[in-house]
Amino acid sequence: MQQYEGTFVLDPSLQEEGYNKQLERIKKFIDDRGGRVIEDDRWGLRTLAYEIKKQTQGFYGVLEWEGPGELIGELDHMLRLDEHILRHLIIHIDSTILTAREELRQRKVARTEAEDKDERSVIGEEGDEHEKEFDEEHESTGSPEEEHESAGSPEEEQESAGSPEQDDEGREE
Amino acid sequence: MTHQKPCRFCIEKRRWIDYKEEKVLRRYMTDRGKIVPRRQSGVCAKHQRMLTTAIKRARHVALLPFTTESLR
Repeated sequence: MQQYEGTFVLDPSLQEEGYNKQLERIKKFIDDRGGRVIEDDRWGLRTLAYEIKKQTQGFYGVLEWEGPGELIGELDHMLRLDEHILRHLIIHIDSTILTAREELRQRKVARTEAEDKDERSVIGEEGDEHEKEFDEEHESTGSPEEEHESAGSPEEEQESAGSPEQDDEGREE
Repeated sequence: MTHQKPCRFCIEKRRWIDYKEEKVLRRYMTDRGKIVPRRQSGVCAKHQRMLTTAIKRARHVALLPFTTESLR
């Protein structure tokens, strides 16, 4: 038994309903072949970074499961044939990743606890320091590159914007 | 005497960089979507390797762009 994670990008024309149906289908496929789904994270509709099959948006779903490796080939084949699946990515979750995730989780817990104790301590979310130091570096080297990391942070809250709260009810278009 | 600044992921003792961490990955891309070379970002070789795979995976599922020429 190995652990895997798959990200699926579905055609927006499926609508909310078809999107959920498709994911259930994938889950059933995994279940039927001796796998066990342990995590089901639906991000909902998101704007794609680039057009795929003339689509600018896609429904994202992330599943995590445990199961035999033989399943992967079949699943991959099935996904490939499905026209409503714009993209899929299946990766193997090894022990390194598992421990790394666990560490991150614990660190986050520790951080929130620290924040609770001291409210005014502004401990930025992960990656905040990255941005700052990156900027400094750019200045000190004074690189004449035309491409400058503009380090704007408008996407700040975007990352976990997988909340399915957006259009729960019927969509207009 | 210039001291080599340690890589930020090393400071964090990161063992893995996930392709879903779009926010973090974007900081290591130029505004045109290229991966920033580590001579500029100061990331160590080990973490740069993790970064590149993460960015490439993220690109595959359209979380990140290959280039910005296409859209916008």
